[in-house]
Amino acid sequence: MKGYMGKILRIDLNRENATKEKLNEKLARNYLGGRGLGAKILYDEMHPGVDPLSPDNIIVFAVGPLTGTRTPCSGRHVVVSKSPATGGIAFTSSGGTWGSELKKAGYDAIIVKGKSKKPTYLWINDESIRFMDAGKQWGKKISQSDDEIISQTDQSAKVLQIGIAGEKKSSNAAILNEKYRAAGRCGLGAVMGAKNLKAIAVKGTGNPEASDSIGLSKTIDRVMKMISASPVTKEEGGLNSYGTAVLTNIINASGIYPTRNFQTGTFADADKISGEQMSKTILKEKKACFECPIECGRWVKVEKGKYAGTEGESLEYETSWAFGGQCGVNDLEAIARANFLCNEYGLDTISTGSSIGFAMELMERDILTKEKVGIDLRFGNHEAMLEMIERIAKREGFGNMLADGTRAAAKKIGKGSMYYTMQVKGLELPAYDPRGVFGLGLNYATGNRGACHVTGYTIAAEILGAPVKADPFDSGEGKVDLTILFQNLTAAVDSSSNCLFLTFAIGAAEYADMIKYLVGWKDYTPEEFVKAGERTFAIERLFNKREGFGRKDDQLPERFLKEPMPEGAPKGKVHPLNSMLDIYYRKRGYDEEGHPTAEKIKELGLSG
Amino acid sequence: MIVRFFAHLREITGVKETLLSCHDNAIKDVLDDLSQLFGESFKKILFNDKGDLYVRILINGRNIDYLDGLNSMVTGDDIVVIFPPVAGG
Repeated sequence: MKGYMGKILRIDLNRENATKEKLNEKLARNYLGGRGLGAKILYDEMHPGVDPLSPDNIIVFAVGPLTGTRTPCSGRHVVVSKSPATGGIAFTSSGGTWGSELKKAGYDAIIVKGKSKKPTYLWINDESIRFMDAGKQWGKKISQSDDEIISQTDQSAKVLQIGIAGEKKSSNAAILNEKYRAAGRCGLGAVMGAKNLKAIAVKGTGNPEASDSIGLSKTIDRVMKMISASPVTKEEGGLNSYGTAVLTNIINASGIYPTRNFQTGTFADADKISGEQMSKTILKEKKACFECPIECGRWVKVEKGKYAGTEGESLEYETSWAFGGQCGVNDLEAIARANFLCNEYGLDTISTGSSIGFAMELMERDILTKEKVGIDLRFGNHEAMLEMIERIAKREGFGNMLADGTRAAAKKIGKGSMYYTMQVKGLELPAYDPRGVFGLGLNYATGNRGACHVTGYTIAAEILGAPVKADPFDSGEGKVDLTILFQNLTAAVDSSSNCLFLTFAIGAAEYADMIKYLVGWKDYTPEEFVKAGERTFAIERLFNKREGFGRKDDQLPERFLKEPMPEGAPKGKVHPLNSMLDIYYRKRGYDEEGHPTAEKIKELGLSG
Repeated sequence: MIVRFFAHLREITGVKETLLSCHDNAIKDVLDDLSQLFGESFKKILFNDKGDLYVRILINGRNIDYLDGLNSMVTGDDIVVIFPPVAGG
């Protein structure tokens, strides 16, 4: 088996012990790696009911067969664990180059159990595994800690780490790598914090081998031509020219840009915080991940005004929304500052912005007061928004209330505040209102990690018209089929640990060929690739079933079921979730609780 | 009628939006008017080599694919949005 490094690293933090084991080929073929491998490991090795912040929680850092090879967009890694935000399974991925460095060091995954007695970071240098004292880095900002760890290890090491938010076990805590890239969602930074695991520094000198170099080269050539032919992925195409924030005006014009905590879908000042505006003002440089020709990353710098000096990467659409329309803020420089703070403290921008917008609506409705919150946290007040980010990260004052997300906050606030939490399973919704895009709404409700747009990004079809066109207001069987296909294909791509943006140019056929020639599975097909995704999705479902999840959790916030959209193209609409859910379970081969049936379990080769 | 441009179309037209007078036209007539206004570089981006519509067009937020295609009617009160194929996440 080529392509993989064939090795999994097991870390026992209790004993400061590292062991290496062989990666089983059957496991690799069924789950590929990344998200799928992580889900399988968690399902097999954890018992239900584990506290996500206890030493018994397992956290897996996994890459896939394509990672670290010449295949395009192959620098990503995936982190899988039980989420403190949802209590269910969580996977979260990040770009950059850390994943490819782990592969070069010789590992397909790291499985971490237990808890260190004191703050620790792992230093992985090919075969050498060391447990390092992280006492001096604990409490420091991400950029400073990154510099220090590199100076202590190697100038070419890549660092993955948590910030202060993770150290304080916030359910909004992200896991950053190379300072600016984030495995943001589901609070897995808190899992590392609870284990006293500050960081993993990695350096590798190896290289994955290909089984058929000529076949692989031809396939890569074909893929590169498809990337160049796609208006989305080509040089000076949509992603390259404007980054993901090009979506701001489009989503707003479609009437589904969540504004002021999803009270409406149209933000009057959207253009001021758009990708077009960013390109004209604060954008300094485009950035690319490992082996990526798309180069969608944005390096921004604020040169004058109140936030002068703010500089950094990854001002994405979701972030510009979370601190823009979600909080009623129209100041792009303030949004850049918010992104900077989240990077420095190690916070998920989506959940943090959503939590602040939630509090802003509660203040608007007099459920919270300025005295209780401590600052005038109202829609549009970007100074207060920025102050609250710091308080959330440090768990200071009312920030402590919001640090564990909106569902946990609403349980403590009471007074009907749960209605205003825009979350599914405890994970806050991202930047699309489901009342105007029914497939995505179904995806939000059924996503195993909670409200997640990238679990099955049907926006591509429903709004952007690619790779197929789908009416956003259609809620019939065809739309459900489309949602399931997107979810399965995405799970397969996540398990390859490849970038989803490549799917705007290529499909399952190209993925299957890359894997075939790389690994040497001569009979590997596109159908098997997508089936690996379906299997991953199902085993995540089984993990959640053991934790008590069922149909009651595959829901949407009441706002989307009861409050018609007040304006825009979706005016008057609510989401028809119930009818879509019945069709979804039937087509997936799940029972009325959303659990895979015995027949489906057998078909996918899963143990029940 | 207001016509708004996003992404590359702003560079091609030189503007974020324009006002057009409208007498209950079909959107295809609006595209002809815009082509006259903004010239060949605008006209060229509208359709691909196969003659299919390349840009995406919304009328009051609704994609014309789900209205009446290029025969979709527009009135003076409408907002039309035109953008090239883009993506995000």
